[in-house]
Amino acid sequence: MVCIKTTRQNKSELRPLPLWKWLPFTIPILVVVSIFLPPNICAKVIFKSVTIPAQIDFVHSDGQSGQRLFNEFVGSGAAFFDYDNDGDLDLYLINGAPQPPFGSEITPKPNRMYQNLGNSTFTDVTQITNLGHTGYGVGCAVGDYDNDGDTDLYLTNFGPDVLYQNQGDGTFLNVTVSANTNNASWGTSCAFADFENDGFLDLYIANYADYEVARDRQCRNRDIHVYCGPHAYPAAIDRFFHNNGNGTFSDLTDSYGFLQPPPCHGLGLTLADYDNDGDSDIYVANDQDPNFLFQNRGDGSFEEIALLAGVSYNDMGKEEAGMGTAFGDYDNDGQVDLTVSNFQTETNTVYHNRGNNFFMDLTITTGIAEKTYNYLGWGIKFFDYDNDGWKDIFVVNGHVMDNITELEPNVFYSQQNLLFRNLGDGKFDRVQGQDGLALKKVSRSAAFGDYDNDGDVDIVVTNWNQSPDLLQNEIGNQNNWVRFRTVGRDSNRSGIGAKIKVVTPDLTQYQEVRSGGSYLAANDLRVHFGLGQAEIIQQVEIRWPSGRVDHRQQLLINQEYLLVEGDSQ
Amino acid sequence: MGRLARQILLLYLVISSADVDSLTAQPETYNLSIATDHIQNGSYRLAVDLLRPIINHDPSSIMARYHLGNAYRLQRLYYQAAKTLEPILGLKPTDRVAGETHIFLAEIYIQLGQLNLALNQATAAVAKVPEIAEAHFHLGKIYLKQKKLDLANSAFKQATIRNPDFADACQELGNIALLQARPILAVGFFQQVADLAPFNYRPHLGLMKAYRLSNNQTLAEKHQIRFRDLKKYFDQVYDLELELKDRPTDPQILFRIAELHYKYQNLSAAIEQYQKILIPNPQSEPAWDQLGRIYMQTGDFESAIKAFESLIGLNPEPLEAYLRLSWIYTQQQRFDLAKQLLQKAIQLSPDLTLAYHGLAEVHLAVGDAAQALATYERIVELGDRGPDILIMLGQLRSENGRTNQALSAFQEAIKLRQTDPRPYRHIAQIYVQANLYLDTALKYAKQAVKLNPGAAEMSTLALVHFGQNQLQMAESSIQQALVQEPNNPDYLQQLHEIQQAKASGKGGLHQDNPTE
Repeated sequence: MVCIKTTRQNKSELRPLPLWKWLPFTIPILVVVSIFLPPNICAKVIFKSVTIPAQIDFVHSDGQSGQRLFNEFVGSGAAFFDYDNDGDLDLYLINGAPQPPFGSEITPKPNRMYQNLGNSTFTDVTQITNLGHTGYGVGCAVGDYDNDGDTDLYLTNFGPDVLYQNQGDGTFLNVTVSANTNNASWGTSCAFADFENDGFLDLYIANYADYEVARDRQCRNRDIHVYCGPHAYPAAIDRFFHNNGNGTFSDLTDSYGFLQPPPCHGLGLTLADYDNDGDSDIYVANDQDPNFLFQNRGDGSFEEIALLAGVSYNDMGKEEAGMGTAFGDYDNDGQVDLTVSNFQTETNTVYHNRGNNFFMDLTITTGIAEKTYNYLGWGIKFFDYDNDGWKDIFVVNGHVMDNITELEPNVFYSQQNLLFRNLGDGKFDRVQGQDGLALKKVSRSAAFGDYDNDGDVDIVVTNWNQSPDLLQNEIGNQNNWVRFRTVGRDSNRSGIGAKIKVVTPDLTQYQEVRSGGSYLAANDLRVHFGLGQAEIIQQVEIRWPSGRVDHRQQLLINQEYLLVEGDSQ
Repeated sequence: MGRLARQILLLYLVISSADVDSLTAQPETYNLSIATDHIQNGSYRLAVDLLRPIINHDPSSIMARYHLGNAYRLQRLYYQAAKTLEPILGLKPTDRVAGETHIFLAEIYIQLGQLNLALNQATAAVAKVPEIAEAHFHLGKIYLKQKKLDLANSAFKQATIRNPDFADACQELGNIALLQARPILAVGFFQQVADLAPFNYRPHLGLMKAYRLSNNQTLAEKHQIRFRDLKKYFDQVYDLELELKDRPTDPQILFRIAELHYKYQNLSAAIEQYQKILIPNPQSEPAWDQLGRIYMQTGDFESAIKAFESLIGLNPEPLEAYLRLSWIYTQQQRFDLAKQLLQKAIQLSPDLTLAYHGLAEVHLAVGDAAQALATYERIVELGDRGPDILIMLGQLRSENGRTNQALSAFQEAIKLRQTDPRPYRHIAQIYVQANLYLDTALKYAKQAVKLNPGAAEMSTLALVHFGQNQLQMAESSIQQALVQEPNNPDYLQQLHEIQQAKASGKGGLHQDNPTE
């Protein structure tokens, strides 16, 4: 087994070089390193925790009330996005805050923005960027909502949410009031997408519960003080903000049909054109409520069809504690499938899209059931960690009760995160590893992106009242890859919603450009494909939200390409 | 304290504890029996309160452990349940108790997420008590989680062989068929569950999915609606049962659950719930009353009688109970009992028209037309002048020879409800039988036919035509009545008379046609 030592770039090199150019320099290093490291250890480090060497010194705080306030257990999210347009991913980490009257002596610690220096380290630019919000932060989404060429940020809070407009000069401006995106509810996951395909990004926000600290209830289980379950408080209504195209938004939650189902406790969110009709649909994972699938009718209205689509309840007709969720085409058949993370002993769920608006729950046959049965899952995503062309699943775990062991001695607060390798035959197998995969923490959210631009997808995991884990992918670039950055012209500038089809000699793959979702997180807007051992990309097809279809042929592997709408080969 | 004094005290304590032992032996058996009852009634906490001291006193009490573990299991306190049940297996229980303990533990370990331990327990259960369906069922559940579909399928089948009414096992067989993309097979299993448990929402989700797999959208949507409806019902009951955990004997919650069962017409569950209410509250009049009503609805008249009699025992003046009981007795043709109750009801409430209605029915049933007439007259006097009452009154007056009063009742009925053909028909019959105002009779008979061209109306029209010597038309009308009721002897007789009159060349009832 060869241990790959990946190469990093300097900040001065603004554009990443194709990997093959580095090859002559890397091979001698690889050989040297592989001689001195024991192969069994080397082989097992798939994700390496590099938080400290990367100079990420953030520590999450839920406000430290010591009261088990209801809103503490959700944790906070993170975003990977290139705020300064320098070609690498920067990192935004969200924080909780003291909640008066509790912890009023504690100084609030703001959300933190870390700029990627391009050499595998980050520097704190919170103050310069004006992104150091000190509210009770929860989740986020990124996208260029004003089509001015830089990426903006939406932040959900327990308390008023915030829309930050990127000024293009390394700073952000809070434009929540002028943009009219005031979501007063307890927002959790959120995402930008151009739902009407009018060229401007709209915004969907999942809301959790109608709760105030002043109305906090003390819940007990067998006389032990525990965090309350979701139904201790009424559910809050999710929000849909339509982008008016002039820097303002309108709340069209009601008129677009989102009030049709009764409100549920929304936590996770994922978007995709699951029915391949050319517009973005919405799936919401609700906590102990039926999940929602809002089918975009393409006429400015949505219909909730989760039950008939088979994605509302589990096989026994029971609503589960949905936390995170993700769309992804795990069998490369051109129809996005779906996964949901749930509570301990509920198992995560994998739904296979059979077309015709129907999903089959294949959790058992995919092998996910048994392996997730003992974990309480949160952030989840389909992504190809080993670049073999088949999307794998990563899910982060951690219990909601800090004192769970008092109630159930065999259940633990801190839990390992799980990586499942897609075997390419409809089944997944758990991948165990040392270091990053061996950590046991109380994880909540995960954001994905190739922050070191080395050709494989890395992960940042947020943990409740702990430091995050920046997990550097150590093996992905053993296989070939390609990455695309999209720029829309008639479509929204970020190209969110664009569908990319990549054809190599042995495989055809599909992905969509997506912002935000899963659980409180925003991922790299660039689209990464693993290519296995393919040496050439025969064809790339890009279907833009505007309806335009562009094509590229005969592309080189191991490169990042800029795809501008209308620039067909 | 000196050594001797301490020894005396110790001796005293030993003696006292021996006394306590002998005294508590009997209460333990008694408490065990009471605790079992509590478990059966869903009062798990009460059971735990009784069983814990038994185990504290004698940790090797197998049955106390068994029931305590079960009570914890049913409260979903799985960890305590496991800790309580596990020692049983080392205490040399009977095969049956050991087998059932393995079954409990298999279920508990599944819930605790410890599938390997669960598998051991389920396997041991199947070996120990292969005749018990649940042993196979839990084994199937574990295999299913482990992706061993064939083994799971076989285990669930074994469960259904042992217990053909095992709905959950059938449901799992359906789920496996769905996973194997065999929708037709799945429909069979889910339909079986729906038949076994008509208020279970789960099979409808399975049926919806199976029909979606078979691209039958109409049936899929039908089962989606049924699923939603039953799920809502289940959730409401479930929420109330959660509230009961804190207040297990709260009658308000118990009643709300029973009412929900009744609202969804799950009558057996409603009966069970009211019975549960009555165990600790045998004086609950509303529970006896509701129980009686539901038994009436199910046709279980004997149980309904017992329920209403219990209610009357608690409160001698429940008028509704008298009325319902009398209705049952009338249905059972126990007219004397019915009459007694109705008279008692009238005695208690002389203006209770419903009691008079019941009484009138009884009089009619025993053929006492005069008493029936008197009773209806009383009903009308009391102000109940509905069209149906007036029609009945008219008929009875007519039979009693009080023609003018009968006509007056029918006319009043027409004023109240012009669309009812009956008073028109009766008026026509009175006129034709009296051979008076036959033209008017004809108008009434035609109006009756216009409102409802039924057999009775056609027969009346035939009668009027016959009276008017319009034999052809009379024959045609009665033929139309006979089309509807070909074997009606009265109509056949009427036809025979008309045909005879035609053959003999004679007229109908009367040669002359007097006019009004």
